[in-house]
Amino acid sequence: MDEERIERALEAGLGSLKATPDLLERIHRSAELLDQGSPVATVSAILQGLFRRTLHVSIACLLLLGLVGIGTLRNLGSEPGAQAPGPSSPSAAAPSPTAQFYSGVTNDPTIKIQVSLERTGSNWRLYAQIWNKSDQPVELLYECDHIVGLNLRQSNEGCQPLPNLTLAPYSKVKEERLLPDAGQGPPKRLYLSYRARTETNPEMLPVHQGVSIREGDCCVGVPWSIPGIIDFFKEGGMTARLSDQPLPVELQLKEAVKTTVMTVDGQVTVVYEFETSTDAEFARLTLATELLRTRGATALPWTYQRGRLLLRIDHVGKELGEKLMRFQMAK
Amino acid sequence: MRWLGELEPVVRLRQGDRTALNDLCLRYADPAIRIAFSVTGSRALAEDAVQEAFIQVLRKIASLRNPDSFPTWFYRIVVNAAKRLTRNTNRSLPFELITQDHPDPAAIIPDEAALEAEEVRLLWAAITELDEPHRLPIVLRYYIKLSEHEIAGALGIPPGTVKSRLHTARRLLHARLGGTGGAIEVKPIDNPPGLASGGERGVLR
Repeated sequence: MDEERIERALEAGLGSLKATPDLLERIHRSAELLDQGSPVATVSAILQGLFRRTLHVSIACLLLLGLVGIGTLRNLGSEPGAQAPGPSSPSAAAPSPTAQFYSGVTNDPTIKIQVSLERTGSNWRLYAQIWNKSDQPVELLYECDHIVGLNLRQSNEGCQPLPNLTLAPYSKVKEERLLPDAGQGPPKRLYLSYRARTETNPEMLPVHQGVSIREGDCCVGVPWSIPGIIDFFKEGGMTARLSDQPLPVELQLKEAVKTTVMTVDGQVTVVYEFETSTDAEFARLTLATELLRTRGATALPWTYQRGRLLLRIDHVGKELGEKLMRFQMAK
Repeated sequence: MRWLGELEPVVRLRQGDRTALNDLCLRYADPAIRIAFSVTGSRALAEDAVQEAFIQVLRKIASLRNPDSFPTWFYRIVVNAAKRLTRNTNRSLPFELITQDHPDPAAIIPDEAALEAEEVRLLWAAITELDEPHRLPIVLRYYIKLSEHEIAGALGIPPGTVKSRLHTARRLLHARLGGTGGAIEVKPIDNPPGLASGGERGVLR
């Protein structure tokens, strides 16, 4: 009898908890990434040591690029403005010298980005190019700052900064860098960062651009101009730009419907609640949350139910948390 | 011994068949998220823990020698992942209230049903107030239906400790519910020393 009651209570408390399709998709996606990138742990470890915690996050946007295993690389065909392979000759041991990845989807529909990766001897050569909608190189409207990081691990894990990997200023649209190759396949994900100045946003706004990253895959953007969040990227600075500006139009989200700030033992949890309307937007925010995880948010779960995405940032730090709380109270 | 069909996806996964992951998800994701929630008290954290656990399964399945022990092995991964996430977030928030997908409007509930529902609610509240070392064995025993031995494997503690914790947990539940004004009688399996016997606990009115 007692056990039956306990069972009933547990059923009442836990019974409605089920793995959502979202969760299953996340698991499968992580599994795919694991399949693609399992050999890169060594590279990751090396880069961790090299570039640990030196992110230049004061710049704005992130471009997320994924790279697939060397054995499956194939050339996806040339894109407008694609460059010839770099000067170094592929080594004899590198069977598939070039792979290109292209994203036609970013959070800003006025641009598109191509990133190419090729094996050159003991390095990976990376170059990125940006075009406007008319397939012309973007010159005046975009200023590329830095490639912020490289994530060689599965989606939820950390991004390793590459401070020396720098995109050229807007006067150039292409920059290439060599990445060390530990002989176990290409890097898996790459984070680029640049600031963008668009016609609709004349200020140099930090707009996060992301592309997904699989061979032949169209990519998803990672827009991050959400007020109050973007400056969270500024590690150490904690200078939150608290604004009640509406979300950027390219985000195609309705305004944040709710912002909740809670403090527990000096740690702050911020909950942004958005309403989304399409899967694409959801996918963008999903990736965005993964990026945020890499910025000191020690836990950043998200949930998406009934057209509503809850984005939670834990541990934003007391100082920023207090600002956010004041911001919330002032609204 | 488990039903052979339960083992089949484990065997397939060990042989490198990644499609078996889907079968394992279908079978184990629900209990996993409930276990993780029992640790974290947060659905979001629980989902993260389950995701992480399945990735660990993919990475470590080759090290699982006996497919028969997969559930215990997997639940241990889930528990550890959930603990780690909880520890990282320094979470001390109360348990989230998990609402039903289709909440009962409760407009017309017979008295008896209402009383029983209240009993259940109070008991669940008492379970969430247990500390994790006592809450988890209760969940694993009475909800996931693991044996004490399997719980020991899942939690990485000796079977004797499981038995002791279950005993203590039941005693605590009994005591807490007894202190609510006599709402529910939860008879402890063993009458704990120092506590009032089951006796007259009263009835929810």
